[in-house]
Amino acid sequence: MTEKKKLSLASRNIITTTILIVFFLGVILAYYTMLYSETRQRIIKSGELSALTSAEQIDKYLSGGIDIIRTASYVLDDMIRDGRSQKDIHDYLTSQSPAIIRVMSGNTAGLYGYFNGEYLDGLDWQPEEGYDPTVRPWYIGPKASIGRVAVVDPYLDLDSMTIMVAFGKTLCDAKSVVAIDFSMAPLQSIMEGLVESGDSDMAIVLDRKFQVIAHSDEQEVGKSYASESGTFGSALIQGLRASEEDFFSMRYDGAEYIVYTVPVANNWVCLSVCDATNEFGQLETTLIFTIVASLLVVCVLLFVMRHANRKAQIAQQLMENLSQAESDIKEKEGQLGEISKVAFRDALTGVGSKAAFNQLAEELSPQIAAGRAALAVVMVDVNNLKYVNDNCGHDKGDEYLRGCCRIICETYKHSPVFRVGGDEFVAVLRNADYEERAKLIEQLNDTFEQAYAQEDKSPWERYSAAAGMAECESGDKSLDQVFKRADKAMYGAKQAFKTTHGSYR
Amino acid sequence: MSVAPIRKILAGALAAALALAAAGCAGNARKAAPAHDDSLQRVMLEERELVMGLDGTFSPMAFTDESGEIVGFDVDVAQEVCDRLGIRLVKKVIDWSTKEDALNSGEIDCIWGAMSATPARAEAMNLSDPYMQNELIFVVSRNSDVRVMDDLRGKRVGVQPASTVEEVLEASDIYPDITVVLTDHDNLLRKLQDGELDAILTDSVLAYYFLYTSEEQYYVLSDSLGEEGYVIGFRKGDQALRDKVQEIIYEMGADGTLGEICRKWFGCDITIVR
Repeated sequence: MTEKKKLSLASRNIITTTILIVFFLGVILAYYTMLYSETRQRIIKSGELSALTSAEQIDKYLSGGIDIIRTASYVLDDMIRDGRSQKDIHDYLTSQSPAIIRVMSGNTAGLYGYFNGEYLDGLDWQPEEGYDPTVRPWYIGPKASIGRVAVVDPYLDLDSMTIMVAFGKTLCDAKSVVAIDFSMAPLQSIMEGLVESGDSDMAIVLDRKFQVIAHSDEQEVGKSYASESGTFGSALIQGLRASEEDFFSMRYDGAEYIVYTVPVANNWVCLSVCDATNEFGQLETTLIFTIVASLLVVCVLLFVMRHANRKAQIAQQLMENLSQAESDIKEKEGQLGEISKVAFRDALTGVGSKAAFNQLAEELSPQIAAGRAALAVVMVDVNNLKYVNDNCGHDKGDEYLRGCCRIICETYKHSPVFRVGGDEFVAVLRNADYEERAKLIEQLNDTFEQAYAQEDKSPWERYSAAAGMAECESGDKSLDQVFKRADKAMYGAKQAFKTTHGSYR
Repeated sequence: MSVAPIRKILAGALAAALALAAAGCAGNARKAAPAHDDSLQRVMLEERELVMGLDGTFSPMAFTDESGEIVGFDVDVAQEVCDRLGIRLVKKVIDWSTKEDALNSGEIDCIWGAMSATPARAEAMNLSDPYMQNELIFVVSRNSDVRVMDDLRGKRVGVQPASTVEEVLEASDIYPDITVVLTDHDNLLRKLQDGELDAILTDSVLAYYFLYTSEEQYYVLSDSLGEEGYVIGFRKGDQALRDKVQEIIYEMGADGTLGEICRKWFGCDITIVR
């Protein structure tokens, strides 16, 4: 495998891994976001429920007070317009107060007020010397809110240690005020009950100035959150101011809170605070766990993929090795073929070698032995090779041999020719050449004689050879026997040549 | 095994997952501020002044006193806001019936002077949070036999034109049976004294001053026509300026300055700034 391929495989792996991891993280984060908002919604819903329930109770309590003042003011308005006496007004207050106290379960001390320039009290409470009603909050507050039941800023009653709130309203002359004080102890009980029941982690009632009217933690009652800074209360106010919804989230001191707000009478607000740190913390733990788990899964997956990849690589390698081996074998076979070709062919003349002749002999032997072979063997022995070699060089000797061979081959066109010795050739005649054998050997001898007769030519061009022929006869067991007779016949011819021409020239 | 199709599937799934995550986050996105809101810069750096538009007769919120100076609760609060911003306050008396035009033409930076919040105004302007609660009350003269709202049928009721008072009265049960007389705030009381009017319908906050300063005894009916909140009106696009002023008013509420100013004019703190 090449380097380039390896590299592309590696980058492919990296891309796949990255995509896998990002995909997993994306899915997990999407799921977490969903889970987070679901949890948040659930907390808000439960906060909403508890805040609404308590707001209803608070409203009921406060509207009880407002109704009392409203009813009293209608009666008193008429009394003033009718010009009734102070005694009549006072009688009204004293007659109404005990009933009101009973209706409000003892959380009030009855009606009082400033009428036509005089302080009158339903329970005949006598103010101390120098008491000026017109500078008291219960008088100034309603005076500044003509026509409306004013809720005067709450104050802490040191005797009962409860927050007291005065409700007051100006009467028709805009100078007289009827008022009543209410203890906020019932609100305090509502807030504490809300937390005790587990519906809320913290329940608070704030007035319009963010003063704490009631708080599930009693210690907080009476505090003014608007003037604090850096406290939980001030963080709460910030959240309240910034939120356009009836709920908001806030962080304080590393904890996460969800606050549900419900307006109650008099521009007050009831808050149900839920500490969501635990729930979100659990969610975060789950998130981290999920991320770790899925990363693990991805890792295992990658490991498996890598492993499978490596197996595939090994298989591929093996396949490549196999085909390599195959091509090697083919090559070897080719080489071997070449080698055998070389072995069965005479390198100088290109005719069959001694080995090839032997093989042929072997192949023919059964036919010969069976007496079915119609063949003749022509033995040709080149004359004067030693002379040419010695006098003209081996190159010329080789050329001389090739020329002689050519004459043999041209004569026996249809027969295999073999070089069986340094200067010996054999032709095995069958079929057409066999039929023509007598004529052909004569033609061969003639050709050599004519070639030799050309005395003007160079010695290596004056081809000469002695040839002897033998036919396969019945009783022959092998080609060798035919060959030997041909050799013998050739020898005869050789002798004749020597007798005629001498050893050489 | 071919990698390409798997990669495509993964990419698709990833895109879907991210889209899902993005959708989850989008829910938390706050509404974007309007583009090119240079209102605060303009007031703070270029003009170095805030022009408040007011009626000039709405005592004790914003009115012209004996010496001809424009004073009042709103003026004091606006002055304090400008002091904290380090800019000059310009008090401009405008025609109350065309106050929106004055605002949108750039003649003034805000309408600030006993302006009640209504849905229509919230639509046309960028309103602050309410800073004071106001009751709509009927005032009759000492000798009037009118005790409750129903007694007003067949009578003449005076109201300030182009005010929410007029709108509220129109929506009330008694409207078909009464004669509505539109009169400037200043003249309402005089006409009531003169007997030209049987009753006036007015903001309780504005009634405060004359009810407590007048020698004459007036009566307030036990019935009222509901309450409204006083707000400051800014131009629709001037979100930055509105938010800054609101922020300072919150501060003033928290540090007691607002209560102090209110006590100066009303004897106690009747602001509702939280």
